[in-house]
Amino acid sequence: MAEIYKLIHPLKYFTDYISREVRPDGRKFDEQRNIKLNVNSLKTAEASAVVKCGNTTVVCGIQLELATPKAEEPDLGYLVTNLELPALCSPKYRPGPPSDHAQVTNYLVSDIITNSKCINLKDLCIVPDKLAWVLYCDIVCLDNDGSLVDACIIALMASLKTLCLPSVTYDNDTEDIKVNADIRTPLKVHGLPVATSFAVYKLPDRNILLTDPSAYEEEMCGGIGANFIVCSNEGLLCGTQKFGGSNLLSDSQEESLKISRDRTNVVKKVIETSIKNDNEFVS
Amino acid sequence: MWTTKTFLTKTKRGNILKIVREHYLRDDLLCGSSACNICPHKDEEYVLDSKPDSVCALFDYPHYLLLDTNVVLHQIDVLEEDALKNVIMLQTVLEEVKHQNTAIFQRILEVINNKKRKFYSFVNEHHKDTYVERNPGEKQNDRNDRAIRKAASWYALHLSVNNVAGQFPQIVLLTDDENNRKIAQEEGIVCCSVKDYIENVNGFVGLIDKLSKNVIPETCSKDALYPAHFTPTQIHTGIRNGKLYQGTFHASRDNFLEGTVSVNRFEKPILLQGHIGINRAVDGDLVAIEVFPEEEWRKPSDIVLEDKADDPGDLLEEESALLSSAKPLDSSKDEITPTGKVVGIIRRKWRQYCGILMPSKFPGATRHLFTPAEKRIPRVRIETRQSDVLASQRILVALDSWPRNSRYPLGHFVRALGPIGDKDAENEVILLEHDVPHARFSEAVLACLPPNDWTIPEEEIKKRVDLRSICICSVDPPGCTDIDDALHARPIDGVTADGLKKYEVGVHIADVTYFVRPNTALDKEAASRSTTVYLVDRRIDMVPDLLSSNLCSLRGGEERLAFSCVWEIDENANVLSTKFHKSVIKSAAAMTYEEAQITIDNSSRKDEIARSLRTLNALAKKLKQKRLDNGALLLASPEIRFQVDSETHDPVEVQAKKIMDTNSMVEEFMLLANVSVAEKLAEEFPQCALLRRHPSPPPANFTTFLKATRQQGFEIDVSTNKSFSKSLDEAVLPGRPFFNTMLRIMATRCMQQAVYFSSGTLSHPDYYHYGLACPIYTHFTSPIRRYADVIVHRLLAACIGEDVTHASLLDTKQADSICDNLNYRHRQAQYAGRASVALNTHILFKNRIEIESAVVLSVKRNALQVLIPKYGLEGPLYLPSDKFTYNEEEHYQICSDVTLKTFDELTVRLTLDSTNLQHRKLVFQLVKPHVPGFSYVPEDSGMEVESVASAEEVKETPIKKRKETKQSKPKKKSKNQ
Amino acid sequence: MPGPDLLSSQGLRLDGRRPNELRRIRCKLGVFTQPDGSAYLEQGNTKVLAAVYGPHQASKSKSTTEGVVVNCQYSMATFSTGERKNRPRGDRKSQEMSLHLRQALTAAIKTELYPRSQIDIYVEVLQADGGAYCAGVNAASLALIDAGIPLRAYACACSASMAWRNGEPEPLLDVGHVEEAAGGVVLTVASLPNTGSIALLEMSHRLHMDYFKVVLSRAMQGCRDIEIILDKAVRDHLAEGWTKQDVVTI
Repeated sequence: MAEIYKLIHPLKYFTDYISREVRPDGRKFDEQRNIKLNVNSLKTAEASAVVKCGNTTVVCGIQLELATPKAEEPDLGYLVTNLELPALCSPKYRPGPPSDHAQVTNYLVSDIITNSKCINLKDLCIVPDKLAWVLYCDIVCLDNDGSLVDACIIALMASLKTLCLPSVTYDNDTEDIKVNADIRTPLKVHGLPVATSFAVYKLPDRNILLTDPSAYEEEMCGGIGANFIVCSNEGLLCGTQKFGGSNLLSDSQEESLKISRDRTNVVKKVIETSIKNDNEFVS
Repeated sequence: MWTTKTFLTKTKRGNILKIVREHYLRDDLLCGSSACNICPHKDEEYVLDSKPDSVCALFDYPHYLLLDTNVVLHQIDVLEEDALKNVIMLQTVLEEVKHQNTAIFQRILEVINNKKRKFYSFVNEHHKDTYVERNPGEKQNDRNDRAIRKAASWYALHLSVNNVAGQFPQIVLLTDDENNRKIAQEEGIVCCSVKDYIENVNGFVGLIDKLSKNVIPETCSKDALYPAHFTPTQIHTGIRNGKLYQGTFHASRDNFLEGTVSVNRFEKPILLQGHIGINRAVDGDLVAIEVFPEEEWRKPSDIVLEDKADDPGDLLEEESALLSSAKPLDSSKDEITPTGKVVGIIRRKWRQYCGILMPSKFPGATRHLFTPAEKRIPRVRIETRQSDVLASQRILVALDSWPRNSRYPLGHFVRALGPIGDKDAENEVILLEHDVPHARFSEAVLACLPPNDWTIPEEEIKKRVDLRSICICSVDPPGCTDIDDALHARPIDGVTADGLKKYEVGVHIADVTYFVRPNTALDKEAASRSTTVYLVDRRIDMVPDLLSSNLCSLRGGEERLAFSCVWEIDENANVLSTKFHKSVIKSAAAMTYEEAQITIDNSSRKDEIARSLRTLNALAKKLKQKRLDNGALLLASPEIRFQVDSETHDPVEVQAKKIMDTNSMVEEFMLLANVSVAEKLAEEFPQCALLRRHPSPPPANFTTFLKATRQQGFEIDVSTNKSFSKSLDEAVLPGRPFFNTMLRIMATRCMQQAVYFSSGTLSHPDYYHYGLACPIYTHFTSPIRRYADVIVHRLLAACIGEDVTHASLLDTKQADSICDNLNYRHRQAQYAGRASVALNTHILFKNRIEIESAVVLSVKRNALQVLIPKYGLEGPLYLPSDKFTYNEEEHYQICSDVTLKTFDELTVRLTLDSTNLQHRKLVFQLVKPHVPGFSYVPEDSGMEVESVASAEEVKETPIKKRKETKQSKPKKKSKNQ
Repeated sequence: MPGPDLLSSQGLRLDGRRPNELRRIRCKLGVFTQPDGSAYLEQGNTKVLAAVYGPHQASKSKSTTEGVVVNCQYSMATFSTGERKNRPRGDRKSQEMSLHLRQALTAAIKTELYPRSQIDIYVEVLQADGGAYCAGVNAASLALIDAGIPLRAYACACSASMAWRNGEPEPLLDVGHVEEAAGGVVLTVASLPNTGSIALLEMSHRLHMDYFKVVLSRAMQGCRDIEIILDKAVRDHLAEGWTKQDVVTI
């Protein structure tokens, strides 16, 4: 019965739930979904992580390359993030070149990482003006069930935290590069940026803030890009975003900051235990 | 059938490439022991005895041996002896051996495959209980040692389970690594050094002699005579930053304290002098060298130095005296050569060396010196208790190491070849030194042969073109039993468009591939041998005698299978059509060149054979003319035949080979057949046809030759083979009939080697055969004695649909590797043939002194290279520097009014110098033109004449004069004088 | 001879398998919620995901009355190989693989049941260690079953190569990356083992005719072995599913 109701009166169905202070999947408004994290499950990548926030599944793999730094920034390395939203992750996507949404999300993730200053690009430089690391961080979404950015940041940060750079010696005379994979130093990661998405649902009398919305909830709340995303690193905000959708009230903003602070602690714990366990990867 | 085993992933990192590999661990691997009652062995899978007999006094209980990598690498000669049985070879060890030395890996595989030896190879790396993971920071070597120990303890435990105590074999680990032994003992593994074990083995005499000498590490500087070699890392960095160079070390034949290394950067090879400069490099080794600054460069010494006959102990003599003459006195610029020193060995290219033992002067001593037959190899110190027996033998010795504190490299005795001077032993030396496979054919090979009384099956005849009724005959040198070609020619009806008569000419080649099927043991053996090697008194067959001299040989009057190439040719020798087919023939006659010539010349003979031969002869002459017109070169090389005593097989007389019309007749048709086949193959198999090419010689090769011909007043044009051929034809001196032949002999030496290649590896213009002046060529006509022809037969058969192709035949890569082997074996066979001629010449001259006419081939600083046309003999005629002055510019020697230059004719006296048993050599002395006080004067007994002078004396001091003791009658002088 | 060293003298391959053994296969159905059917499959170190959307209404240009249009996309994650790939899809190899996937899977699907419809099948390679196409077909087969699309039979794919042991030819089953890179021939077969029919045959390099039959039969054997594994996975998954559903209804 419920399924049919949902199909015929989607809006009413959803509103019925919300007005009863519960979300269709049984969560409270400020309740987030379970996070499952697995690090180093891909052997071909230098560091990797698979994260599941509810059903949203994201894989991140980091691969290394060596390159010459840019002439204008001779002591900086490169950190390249790239997000893939292949057609397989959602029925909404079509095969073909990346959609606008994918590109926007991609920039958003890059910006968050850059603004959070969690990676000092100077750490990636080996010999100024000669040699620097390029970190290719490729994120692939396997199942998009909402709050994509949150999952991406978790996967990316977990990967970065497990990444160990091999030691490289560079001979100035011969321009000879020697990579010693046996001696590795962990990459310095400053803090832990965590993103938290909220969907804003407009009831006639008030706006409801839904933490960690699923794809269905996102759709009900204005569709693509309507999420309110808060991202902070060690208490410092490094990105808030809200494009379109329902309006946001200032008191709910405060509430959202509080929720995101709590969430940061949860994520931190998840990443730490996961790295500690570094157990076998079961998808 | 499909089972999942415990699973592990191993990651390996290259540059920044991450490589992931799977590594499956299994529980279904067998231990191979009959004492085991756990593993589900099948009967034939038991390799190790349940109660192995102990041969070692140290361990008088039943045990299996387990070896570590270095034991296999260093003691392979011991392992090849039958003494040690019931040995467990771990995969860890095998892989390390394979990685470090493929030759030894092959040898250990042979041992493992020998069922009688009871060597069991255990795949410990994939066994769930014996695999060990490399710990972080652990060296690969340490990890492997740990894997070996782990396997040892596993075996001990495995065998003890379900066995009554004391009823099962123990495990003894053999390793020379002290540290490893220590840890093993702590872990409760019985272990022992190889030396201790072998020295306590009973019942195998001589086993100890084969023990490789202990290797003293390079870092040990106690009593060091030589500077330490650089470590591989140092060498690597040195080469990278351009401070060091790498190259193959070539020792000088004449001076044991000198050698060269060719390096790309320098035009001249780098000169290395003295013990320290050479620093233990042995001829052929790949070495790292350092080049001195230019002011320290020297010129190569022109003296001959041989190592002292007696053992000076571990001392390096004062070299300054020996090398003083090498210092640049006149500092003439172009003689100065870049000079350097060896600082490290990148790879040893040691093989086993033939030679003789020089027993120590102290009776009962076990350390002796060994002198290799190859002059460029230093003497070797070996230990043996059998010196009395071995002193008179030719022996084979392997090199083990050359520690810093030893003047000589250390080696060990491998086996005796036979008494010195014995024909068989000497032949064995020739074969071994030239790497000619000459062991008897194995059982597996012989099993591939048809029965002795094999006849052509009826259905095979039906499949083939029946040519038995056609009058076919073969023409070969006398005494030839492996006849691989036969010919026929007959007029056919009709005329060409130009009104010329037409003939059918057929070349019929023994169908060896009918018997030698691909990928059989017989085929593999033939491929490895690649060619039949002809020594003067022995033939080392490529295929067993039954085939080479009987079933394949196209003997007269017998039905044989053949592969035929049949042309229609007009009377001007233009080929009208060509066809190939397999056939059955019955040769009407197997003739020698001489018999065939007589048949042709005897005008009273009108039979079919004579008519056929005359047609062939006439056509051949036209073919040859055409070839010459195209620019083919007529080259010459001095070829001789020995007449051999029928009982002793010693040579009794030598004569130059006679060349008759019929030689050329057979040759022309063989060339034609080869070219026809080559064209067909290249068209059908552009990727994998086996062809033969002869690259044009680089112009630099001709410099000396042109200088010499100019002195004789001829200008030779070497720009193309056509012009070259033409100017050679024109260079004739009326009074000297041999001059032109001489010229051609010299011209031959300026040429490159012709080589086999696979058509896929080169582009079409490179197929050219310079000597024959034809765009494409191959070998088709001698499948009995050349493997190249066997491949060509198979390809051709596949072309014409008479046979199926098989995978390896069509693989370019494999064809290429076959070519490499063919070329190598052919070169070696050629050298072996020459060495055999030299050996027999020496035997011939043992009791002989002759005076013969000779020609100067080249002029050197202290000698003339002369050739005796009658014998095809070549050698140096040393000239003392106080009498003769050498003109470097124009290459001639002057002594007052006598000038000696290239191509001059001389009279020389020939004797054999046997003072050095290893290197017996012919000594040439000048008789005419007469140089007072130097030339040998034959008849006048009153005059003082020079005696045989050894090479050393000639070079270092003016010749000592002695009264001649031997009275020899000079022989008739040759006509040219 | 290509890769004479692929088999040790004891008859084991470089990774310790025997010539006729598959790599370890682990698989799981229904791993995602968004697609109608999904599956994850590991074949040794090769790891792939497959997702199926549909059948749904086909776009007008593609729609036919004959049967369902099968649309496949094969893509490899940039970090799936040791060296970073620049384009995950759309390059020549991926397009070729997409086409091959479609050919093999169309043969398995009862296409006539859904005229004017379309099925989208996406295969994502997360880690490639040889035989990614085969793993893709096998995973897609499971995803189709998870989506409840009627199949004629399991579509299974397996590769085989050629090695020599003591001079005797010995075909190798389920070729890994190292063996692929050794330069030998790789014969890839996609078949419906149940019906004995071959849906796709692809061969790289050259192979002599004499050996073709043995290599092919080895690859077919591999397909049959894989079918058994897939079948077991499906049955396990269904059994699990039923119990879950029971809990929900109660």
